[in-house]
Amino acid sequence: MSQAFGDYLRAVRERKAADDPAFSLRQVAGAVDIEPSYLSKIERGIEAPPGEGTIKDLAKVLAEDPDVLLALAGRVSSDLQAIICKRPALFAELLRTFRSLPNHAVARVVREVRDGDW
Amino acid sequence: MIELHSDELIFTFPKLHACLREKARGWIDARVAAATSEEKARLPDSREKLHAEFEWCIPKVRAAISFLRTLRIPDDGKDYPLPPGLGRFPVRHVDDFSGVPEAWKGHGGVMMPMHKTEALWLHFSSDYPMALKIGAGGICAISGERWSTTLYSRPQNYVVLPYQPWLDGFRVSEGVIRQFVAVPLGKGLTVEQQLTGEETWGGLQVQAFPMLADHNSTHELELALKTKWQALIRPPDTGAGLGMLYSMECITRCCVGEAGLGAGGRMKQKITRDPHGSEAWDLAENSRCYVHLCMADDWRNLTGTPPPHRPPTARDYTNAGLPWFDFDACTPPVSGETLLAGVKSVNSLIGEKTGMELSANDTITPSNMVQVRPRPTGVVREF
Repeated sequence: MSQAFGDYLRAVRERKAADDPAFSLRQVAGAVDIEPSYLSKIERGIEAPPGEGTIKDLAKVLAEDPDVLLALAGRVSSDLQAIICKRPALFAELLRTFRSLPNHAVARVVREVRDGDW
Repeated sequence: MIELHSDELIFTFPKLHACLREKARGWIDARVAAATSEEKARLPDSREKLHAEFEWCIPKVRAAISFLRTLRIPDDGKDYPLPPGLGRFPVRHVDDFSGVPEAWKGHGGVMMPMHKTEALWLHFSSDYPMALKIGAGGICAISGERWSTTLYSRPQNYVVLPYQPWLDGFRVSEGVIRQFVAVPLGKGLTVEQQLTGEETWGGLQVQAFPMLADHNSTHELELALKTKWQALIRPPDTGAGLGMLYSMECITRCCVGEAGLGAGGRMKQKITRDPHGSEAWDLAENSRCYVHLCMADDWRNLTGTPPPHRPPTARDYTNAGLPWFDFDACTPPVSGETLLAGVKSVNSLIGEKTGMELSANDTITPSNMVQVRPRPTGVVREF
């Protein structure tokens, strides 16, 4: 998981760095307030992904979806966790229902109108 | 299966759709087997691609029902033409709101807001023949009988899609309805109260029955498939096929207070007699939905969103020179007596109870009349 996160992060950063030096390893590490060597180790999978706050900062600097980066790091953002923890059984059932659906079906979440007792 | 999209109830029958697709594929494969080598050369190079070419011919077995805001026509004994549609009522899942009455939770379905004495009409469209039962407060709006979950042809207790494009009220005689008008439950103003002596249901009830797959619909499907087949095997410089056969171009006439429906003014509107016969409908495969009516004043508390504003009065609308509509589908109407013939209007009941009359009930003379005719399907009008 951490390797996937590192690979993805490195690919995105290097693609941007090819056009803009602001995305060099040093510059990006400075922008999110971590050491360049630490960021390098994360990108190579030597270090585990950083905390949620740093991942969100990286997403902001690289203009990436923070939920995607968090998912690659094997994490769920705290706001999503709060939503799920409020009704865990319901959301667990919902997510399992969606597991095998194709993307277009998930994107178009429709709900049947429930018929009751009358 | 019923879904709610953009304030519209969508009834679909996936099993029936799959059955029609299988029939279509069998028909296509038989045609390919019997085709000449010249014809085969004009067909797509794979069976999947060929089937995909015919996909549009297969009805989705879908019916849509929307609830339209409109003017309340005067209740003065005159038979009025069709008033306009002023946009859809917002419709929401009952399950999404915790403050709804317990009975609504039990019934399931959806809900929408209506102002006191506001009128509505139901707009229908479908790509496949359907029989649709409409109840108001547990009373069949066509026959006046108590709600039942089956179809009867004598007296007919349903409308037939796609022939019936809309329903504005309770059928009180041949070619005449009394407009659906929202009234608070518990005041004795509903048709339900008059015919049953109690007001326990309220709201609207809708139930759809698709046509049996092996009934006439199969002939319609074959006609669509033949048309497409001819277009495919025809040399490429000739024209293409027709539009959807089943579709009918319908124009758009352009604590919680529970509401029920009373009878409003009289309006000219035919209920099309079932041309297929009651044995055409699939009684086993049906879907139903309870549509609860919430008094508009309580809608904001319940949902956090404002209800639509009150519609204009019939007089203001008419004085502004805006159109009324006249429509004749040229199909035989449901005839014969109905239990609804003698129902008293909301205006009469208010008069009996209070000695007063409904506001904005003065007689008007619609002047800007627009004739509406069903158009041939799939034909684009040139200019």
